[in-house]
Amino acid sequence: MNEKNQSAEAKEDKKGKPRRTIDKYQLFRAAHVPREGRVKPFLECLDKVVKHELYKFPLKLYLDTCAKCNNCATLCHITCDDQSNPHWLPAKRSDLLRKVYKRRYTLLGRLLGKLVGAEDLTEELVDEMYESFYRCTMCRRCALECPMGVDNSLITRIGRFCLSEAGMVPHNFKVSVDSQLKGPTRNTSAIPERAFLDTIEFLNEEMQEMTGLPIEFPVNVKGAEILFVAPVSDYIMEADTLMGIAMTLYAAGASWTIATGAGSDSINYGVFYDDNWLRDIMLQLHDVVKDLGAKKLVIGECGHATKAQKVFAEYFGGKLDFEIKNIMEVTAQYIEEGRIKLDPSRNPDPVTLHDPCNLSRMGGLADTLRFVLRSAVSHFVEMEPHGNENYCCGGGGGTVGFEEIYDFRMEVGGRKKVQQLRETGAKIVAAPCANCKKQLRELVDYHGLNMEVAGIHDLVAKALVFDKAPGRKIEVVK
Amino acid sequence: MATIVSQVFPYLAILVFLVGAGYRIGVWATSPKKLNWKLYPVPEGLVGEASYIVGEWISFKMLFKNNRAIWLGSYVFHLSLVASAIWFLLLLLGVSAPWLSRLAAAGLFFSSIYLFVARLWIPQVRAISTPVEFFNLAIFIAMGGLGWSLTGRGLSGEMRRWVFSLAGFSPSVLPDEPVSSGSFSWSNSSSLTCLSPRCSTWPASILPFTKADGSIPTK
Repeated sequence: MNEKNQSAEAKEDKKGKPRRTIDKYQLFRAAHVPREGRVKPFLECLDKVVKHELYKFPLKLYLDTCAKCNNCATLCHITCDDQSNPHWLPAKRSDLLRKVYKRRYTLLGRLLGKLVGAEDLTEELVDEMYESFYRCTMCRRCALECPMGVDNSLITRIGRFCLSEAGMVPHNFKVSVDSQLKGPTRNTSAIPERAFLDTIEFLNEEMQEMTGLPIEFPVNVKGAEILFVAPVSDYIMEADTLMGIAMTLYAAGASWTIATGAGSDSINYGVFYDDNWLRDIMLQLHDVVKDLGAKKLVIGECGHATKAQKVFAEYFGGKLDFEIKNIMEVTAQYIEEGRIKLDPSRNPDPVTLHDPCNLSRMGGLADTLRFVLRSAVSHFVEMEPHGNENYCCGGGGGTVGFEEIYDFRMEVGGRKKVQQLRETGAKIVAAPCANCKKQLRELVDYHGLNMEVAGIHDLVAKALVFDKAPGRKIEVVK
Repeated sequence: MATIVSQVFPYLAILVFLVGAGYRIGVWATSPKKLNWKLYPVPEGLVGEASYIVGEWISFKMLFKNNRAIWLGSYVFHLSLVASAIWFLLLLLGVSAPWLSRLAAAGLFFSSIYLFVARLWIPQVRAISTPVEFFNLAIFIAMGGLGWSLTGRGLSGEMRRWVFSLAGFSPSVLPDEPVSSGSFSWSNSSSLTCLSPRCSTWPASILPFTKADGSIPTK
C-alpha cells in the first residue's frame, strides 16, 4: 500500500482523532484579514517592487521566461506525487502574479489581455493569492532544475509582500513581528527578560549536573568574540540543542555570549513576507552586536534566520564590521582544528539528516552539516534525495506556524518527507532548524513514525569528550 | 507586392528583431546584482558556469530527469531548429543538403504537434497554458509542415542569391510562384534571422517579445 492510500484510508490519526478532509481554502477562510479595498495598496506596492533595484531584474526575468513546461511541479514536495489540484502547481501559483504583471506593465498584456495570460487584479484574485502564496514554503527546489531558471520562491515572496501592504498577513506573523519590534520584550515569543534569565539559569544547572563542569551561558558580555543568537523559542522548545551548543563553545574555549532583549531572538519573519520588517528586525539585532562589540554574529540551528542575515545583511545593514556565521560552520571549524573532540560511539543508533532548505540548498552548508553529524554519530544514514536536492519538510516559509493549515502540512506538504523518513529506517532524524524540527515532530506524531527528532548539537553534546571531565549523563530528551 | 515582401519586409523584420533583442539584452546586462541570492550547487568560475549551461543546452537534462514526456517533444523541437540553422549556413556556403532541410522540417512539424497535443492533453500543463503558448506552437507547425512539403525542389541556388543580395543591400525580387515562395518561407524562417519574405517573417521578428513581452514596459 503506498503513502497516498495509507493516508486516504486511515480514518483516525495516532491520537485517535478523526482525520479531517483537506480544506483547499482553509487558510483564507480562517484569516482575520480585510475582505475588500486591497487592490489599490497591492498594486501600489507592486509598482514599487518592479522598479526596486533588488527585484526588478530577477522578478522581470522570472515573470517573463516561464516556458509553462510544468517541470517545477515534478520537483515540488507538494505536487511531485499528486498534481490533481492545479492551484498547488508552482507555475500556476506564479501565474497569479504573472497575469497582473503582464496586464499592468507589458504592451502585449495591455493589448491582448487573456490571450497572452494577462488579467487585471481583482479582489477575488487577491483572495486566491493569499491562499496560494501561503501554501508555498519557498524552498526553491523547483528553481533548482527549472530549464528556464525561474525562481517561483521569489515570485511567492513578492506576492506575499504586496499582500502584506494590502493588510493580508497571517495572524502569527503579525503578532510575532509586533512583539519583536514594538513589544517590551523585543522577542517574538514575548518572553519577559526575567523569565528568559530564569530559563538560562535552569539550563546552566542542567549542564553542570550533566557534565560536572562549570558550563554556562554567558549573558551580555561586552567584548566577547561571538554573539550567539538562537530563535528565542529554542530556549523553551529546543533546550537540548542550546545546551549542546553551549557545551561545544565551552569545550572549544570560545569567547562568547548571548544577549537579552533584541539580542535574544534570531527569528526574522520579515524574510517570509515583508522587507520593511526584515530590515527593521535585522538592524535591531545588528545594534546589539555593535553595542557588545562582538566580532562574529553566530546564528543558532535556524535556517530562515541564517538566510535572512547572510543574504540581506549587507544590503540593509551596509558594510558590516562583524562576520555572520551559522553555528554549524563554527562547530565544524572547531572539529577541524581539533579544538573539540567527539566520540561518535556514544551515538550508536542510526541517524539520518534532514537538510533544511535555507541551510543546504540556499546556504551551501550541506557538506558542513554532514561533516559535523558524521563526526558525532557512528551510524549515519543518508536520506534520498538529500543535500541540495532534499525535499522541504513541508513547514518552510513560515507555514509551520499556521495551525489553520495543519491538515495540509500533515497530509500534503509533509507527505514526501514522511516517505523519505520511512525509507531511511533511522531511529533519529537530525534537523538543524527550529522550524523544520517542529514540522518533523508533528509529522512523526501524526503519521506514527518510530523516530526521534533532534538537533545536530543534541547529538554533538552526547559525543563531546571533555578534558578532565568527571562522569556525566546526557540523554537526548524527546 | 513582390517588391514589398522581397525587399522591404526582410529589412523591417530584421530591424524589429534587432531592436527587440538588443533592448532585452541591454536591460538584463545593465541590471545590477544586489543580493547574494544563491542556489547551491553554484558552478564555480567561467569554465564551471559554461559547462553547466552548455550541458543543459546539449541535453535538456533537467527536463530529461523530471519530465520525460515534455523532454521528448522539446528536445526534438530544438534539435530541429539547430538542424535547420546548420542547413541554412551550409546553403550560404554553397553546400546543398536537402535531406537536412527535410529532416529539420519534419522534426519541427511533428515535435510541434506533439507539444501542442501534450499541452492540451495533460491536465496540469493545460492548466498553466495560455492561448499564446498554443499560438506559438501553431506557427511552428505551419512552418515545419510547409518546409517539409516544399524542400528539395531545386531552389537553393536562387534563394542563396537572394540572401546575398539582401546582405549586399541590393535586394533582388523573388519569383511569385506559390511553390517557390513557400519554399523560401520555410528556408528563411529556419535561419531564425527573420529573412523570410512570407508568413514566417513576422512571427520570427517577434521572437524577442514572446517570452519577454515584459521588455516593452508601459510604465
